[in-house]
Amino acid sequence: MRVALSVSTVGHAAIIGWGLVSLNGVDPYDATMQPPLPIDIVSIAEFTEITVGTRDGDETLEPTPPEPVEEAEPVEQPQPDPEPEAVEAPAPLPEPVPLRTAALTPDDPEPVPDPEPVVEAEPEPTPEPLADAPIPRIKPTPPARPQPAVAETKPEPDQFNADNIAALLNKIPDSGGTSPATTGSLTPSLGTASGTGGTLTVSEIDALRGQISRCWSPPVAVLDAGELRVRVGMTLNQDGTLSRPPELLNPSSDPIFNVAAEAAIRAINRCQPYYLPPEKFHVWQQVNLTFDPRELLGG
Amino acid sequence: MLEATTLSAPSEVSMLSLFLQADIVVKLVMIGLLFASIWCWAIIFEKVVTYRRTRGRMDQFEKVFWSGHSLEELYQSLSARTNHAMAALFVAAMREWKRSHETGALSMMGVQSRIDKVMDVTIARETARLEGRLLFLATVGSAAPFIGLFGTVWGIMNSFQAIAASESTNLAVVAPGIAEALFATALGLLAAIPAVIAYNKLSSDVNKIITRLEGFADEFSAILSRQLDERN
Repeated sequence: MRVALSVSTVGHAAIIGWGLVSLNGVDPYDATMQPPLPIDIVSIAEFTEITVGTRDGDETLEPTPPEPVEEAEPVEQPQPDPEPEAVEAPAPLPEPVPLRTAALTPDDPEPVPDPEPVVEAEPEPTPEPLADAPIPRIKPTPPARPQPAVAETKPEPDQFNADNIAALLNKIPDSGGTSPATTGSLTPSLGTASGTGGTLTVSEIDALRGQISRCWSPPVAVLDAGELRVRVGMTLNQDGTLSRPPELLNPSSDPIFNVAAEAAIRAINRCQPYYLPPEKFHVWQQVNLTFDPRELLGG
Repeated sequence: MLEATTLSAPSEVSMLSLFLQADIVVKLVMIGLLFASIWCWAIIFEKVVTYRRTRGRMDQFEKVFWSGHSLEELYQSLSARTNHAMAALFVAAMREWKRSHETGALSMMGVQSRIDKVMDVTIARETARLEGRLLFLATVGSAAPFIGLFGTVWGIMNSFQAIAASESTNLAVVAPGIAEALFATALGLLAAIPAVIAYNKLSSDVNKIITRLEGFADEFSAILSRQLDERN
């Protein structure tokens, strides 16, 4: 037994020693390092909630990095600015424009300032003059504006309230098939007292759409019918339930349309309560939605 | 406990570092499994050698036994040293036979039953000697994986606690603790697999040897019985 024990011990020692020497760690996986991609997380709300602004607000707000400004391009439709801005720039600021300087206080005596097109990455003249001198800019001609700007046409500062926004929101589908992304982003140019956006941001609209679309199953005939846009106005309570039955905003005599409208109203009824940010209750208290069977649910 | 497994991503994951970083419980488990493995292999070596030698000597003995030599001479040569089971069986039976002769108590049935009893006892003793320590192999074979698993569970438990304490879920931080814990299971399996295989092999060997012993005992008993008949 003694011999066997020593043989075994020696064998184990040999194996362990061999393991210590030759199994010295495993080869690391050949993971080729990808060059890191700088990613900035920018929520859509950052662009759709640009409302806070005060007269004495200094422009030392941390400038938004250039990337978001670039990304803003698809949101803000290219704005045909009548005059080249660099010409009249009194003191071009080298730093990128803080996004928020685009918003002026509601009681700004000036004619409605053109919300600084964030698209322009080049130095902008605005922030400085905002404080001391009126921007020497010609009042932009409203007709020249493209579609998304509809929302901000002359938001008379004093009348600015949530209902107004809701009403503006209602106009969007009429303005001719804008994409859902632009629907919610009203690109407010004037701040509200509450400081938060006076509109549902796209993400919240999406949330609402998502919640409703779970329950919405339009009949097949409706899906085939093609051009059918059912606009439904819904009024919500604070807890997300409907305070009134949803109402059809564009009644029609077309039977297929009526089927679709019934399906839409049924969906709205069935899916309540809706979960939306309660601090924006004044915004989603009244929401108009457009149901488009082709994209299942159009905002 | 947490200090023992501070999760600093080690530069290397070698066997030694795996062992050294482990928690004390895991270390004890590993050491215990190592000793169990050493002891298992010692038993395996010893048994393999013993059985082979026993089989060889039994072959030799049977060859001599059936060659027609005088049993008396064979007894004289073997009584001094009985180095295998069959010789022990033969010597025990012969001794009983001779004693019965010397005392003259030659009632046929009595001698026969005494010799059978002596041979049974001898077979039982030899069986116990041959099978000794084989149970340890069976125990290690069934228990070592559990012991290793216990070490692993303990190590992973500690790892998770340390991960929670360090508030990092980076895989480079998490992995060494889990690797070190799994090392315990690896050792358990390493000890258990040979033990199970060897136990099955060796116990079947033992059974063969014992069957052979019993066959020889029956034959020898028949021979002695015939002798008794002839004398009477």
